[in-house]
Amino acid sequence: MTPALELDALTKRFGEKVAVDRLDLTVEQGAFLGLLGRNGAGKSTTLKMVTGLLRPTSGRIQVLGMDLGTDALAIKRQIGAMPEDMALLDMLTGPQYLRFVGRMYGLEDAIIDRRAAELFEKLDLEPGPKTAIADYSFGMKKKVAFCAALLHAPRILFLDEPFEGIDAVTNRTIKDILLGLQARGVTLVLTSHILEVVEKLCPQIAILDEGRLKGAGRLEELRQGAESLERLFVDLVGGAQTGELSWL
Amino acid sequence: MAVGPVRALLAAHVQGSLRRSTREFTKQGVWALVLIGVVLATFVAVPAGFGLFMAGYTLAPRLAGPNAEAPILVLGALLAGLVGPGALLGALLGGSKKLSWEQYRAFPLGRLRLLLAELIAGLGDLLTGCLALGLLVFCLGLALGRPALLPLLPLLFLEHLGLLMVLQLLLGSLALRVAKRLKLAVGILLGLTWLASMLLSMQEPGHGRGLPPAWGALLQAAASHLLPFLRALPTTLAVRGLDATPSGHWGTALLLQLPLLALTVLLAAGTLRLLEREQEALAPVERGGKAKLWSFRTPLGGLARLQFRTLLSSHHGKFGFLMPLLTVVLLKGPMARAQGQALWALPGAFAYLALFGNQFQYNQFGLDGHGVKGLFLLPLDTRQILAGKLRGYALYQGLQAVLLIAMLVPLFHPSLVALAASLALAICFFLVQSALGSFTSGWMPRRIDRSTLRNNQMPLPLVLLGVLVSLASTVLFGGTYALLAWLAPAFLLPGMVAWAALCYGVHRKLMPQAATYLDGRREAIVEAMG
Ligand SMILES: Nc1ncnc2c1ncn2[C@@H]1O[C@H](COP(=O)(O)OP(=O)(O)O)[C@@H](O)[C@H]1O
Ligand SMILES: [Mg+2]
Repeated sequence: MTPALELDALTKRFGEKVAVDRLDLTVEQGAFLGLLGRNGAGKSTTLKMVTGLLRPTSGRIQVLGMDLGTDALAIKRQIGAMPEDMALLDMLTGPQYLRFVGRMYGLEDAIIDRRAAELFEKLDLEPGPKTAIADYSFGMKKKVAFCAALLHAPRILFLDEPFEGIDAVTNRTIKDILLGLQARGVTLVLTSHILEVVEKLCPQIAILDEGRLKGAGRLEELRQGAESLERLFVDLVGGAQTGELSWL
Repeated sequence: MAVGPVRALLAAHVQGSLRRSTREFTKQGVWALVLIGVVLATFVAVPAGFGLFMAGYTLAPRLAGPNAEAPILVLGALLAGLVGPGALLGALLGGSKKLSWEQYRAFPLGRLRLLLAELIAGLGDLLTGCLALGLLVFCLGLALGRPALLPLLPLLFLEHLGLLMVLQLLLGSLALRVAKRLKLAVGILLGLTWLASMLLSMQEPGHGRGLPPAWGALLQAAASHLLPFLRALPTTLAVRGLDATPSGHWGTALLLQLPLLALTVLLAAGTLRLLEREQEALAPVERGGKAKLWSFRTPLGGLARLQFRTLLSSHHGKFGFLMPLLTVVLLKGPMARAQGQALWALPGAFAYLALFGNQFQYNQFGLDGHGVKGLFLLPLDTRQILAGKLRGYALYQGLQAVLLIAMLVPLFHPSLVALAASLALAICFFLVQSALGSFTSGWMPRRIDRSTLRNNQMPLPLVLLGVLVSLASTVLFGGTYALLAWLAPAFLLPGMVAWAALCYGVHRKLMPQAATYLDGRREAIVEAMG
């Protein structure tokens, strides 16, 4: 079976700064990968390249066997993405936005509305009928972005920090939805800087630091030897400081 | 070293602005800006400053003595003119809130501190800064002209500066509120138009060049009515107080400053209220009814609709609908006496309308802001995106053209042929800009804030390019129009339609290239939109 995602020496430079450094990574179809790393490790940059928002400095990205450089449109029809800063067309209301997005994937109005209603109910999203997304709270925006990523039933889902700024109840719901998706064979890639999230949710993990891949594989295999994921993470990434402040 | 909160706020503001402008301007941009600054300084600021200095210097000695009344009134009027209209202009050029009050809310900061920092930040505006300098120079002139005035001059300077800052912030905030309400703005403009046309119709061309006799009398009457008003101006009173210091009447001198100070405090209080109310208004407003959901057959339709909606949801875009009105006002007012108006008024009006769109055409993703990422995530061809934007924008400008026609027809009674030919001319302008803009949108993308009217969004090279292209198009298309209308009116319409068709053909030919170019620039666009 062709892998869902294949990164080949993927590199991204911003001027002098190397944000992603010769990253090789393969994600099989149906996998649930957690991309772990500290702030600034290059997680978002990687996802932005994979979803076509940033152009790699060098290297190759293949999604479902198609090359992102040549088959971008075909790939985009198969994937759903939630960027870190959500990037919504915020002059629209939530339902209007979903209509727009759904239509762009060629869905019928009735189908869009049904799915949107279901998602809104599950996620407990009840915006004012005329409130533009710009006036939504952070968590509400996040939910809308999540809905938009799921609306067209993508085969691969890329989520950048999906649990940031989300309340505990919705957190639970989103996790349930994701696990349901996985059971139905959807490939999932999410990034997080929070170990617990990834530890509880993702059977596979990849650890990124300063743009480099520090380790990848099944969680339990990686954890062998180290007593916990946190231990492993700190060992791989290094640089843990003592928690004392000079003035406190 | 402890830093006062106001200074900390200002430092953060200055650093933020500097970083933003260095990111936005390229190196050439900075140099061009410096050049423009130098030119403006030598030809405008320095002469104006010198004039103000001399005014102060020569008027100061005349303040004393029995004939002091006229100089006092002149000085008062001058100060009022510097502060009032100056603040208004500054406000209209973007003098609303600079600091993000929302962000500072969390800090333990008093409202007055915030207001003070806000007022000082307002001095960073080019115009306001210049006015403040002008005021300073003027006071220096006064001081040198009559050193005896010196003790009270710092107060005079500060209180006028304060009034200037408060007034500009207040007017800027009010202007923003008005701009937020399109209907109100149109109403106000309609009122002004009506007033202007009433005034202007009094001096119909038939009466000859000079003022009609009735006007002289009118002016005199106005002046006699104006005098008491001038006498009562707080600025005049302040100047009168200034005059009381050399004779040692300190009590009177200070008492006479009070009206100005009171006015400033009053206005400051009003401004504070306004800004705080603005804060509360930021909370989402629930209105009745349901927002209409869109339905469209092709992605193109959706994109067009999105573009149209985006334009309408922005202050800049709303402002566009005032352009037809302004055009008509210009034609009826200042330009009513120009030669051969019948020949150029119509094409001129349409060309003017088309040219206003520069900033959207040359920066087609600017209004999308960070939503552009959402757009680029969708399975959309760049060509589709461009075509959708073109349609939405054509609808937007088309509506404006309809508005313009609706106002031109009753005022100028144009012939159908001239109307149609002018429309074709406008289409030529539109297509040329759109074709060029499809490239520049990727070349120098920049975010346009949807919720302000500040006009600092076009990078300088684009402004220059815009001027150049507008000139060239005017010569080419406008020249054709004029020649045909003059020499061969029968060919006017076919000629202009042929031009429009040609432009359309070229536009179509260029779109694939533009799309390819934009494909390579997607990243730059995403970066620029933040
Ligand atoms: N547009 C940019 N320009 C310059 N540097 C960038 C840009 N985007 C990201 N970086 C840098 O690249 C590194 C990786 O960033 P990012 O991928 O956002 O990290 P994270 O893993 O926290 O998501 C950071 O050091 C960041 O400063
Ligand atoms: Mg990130």
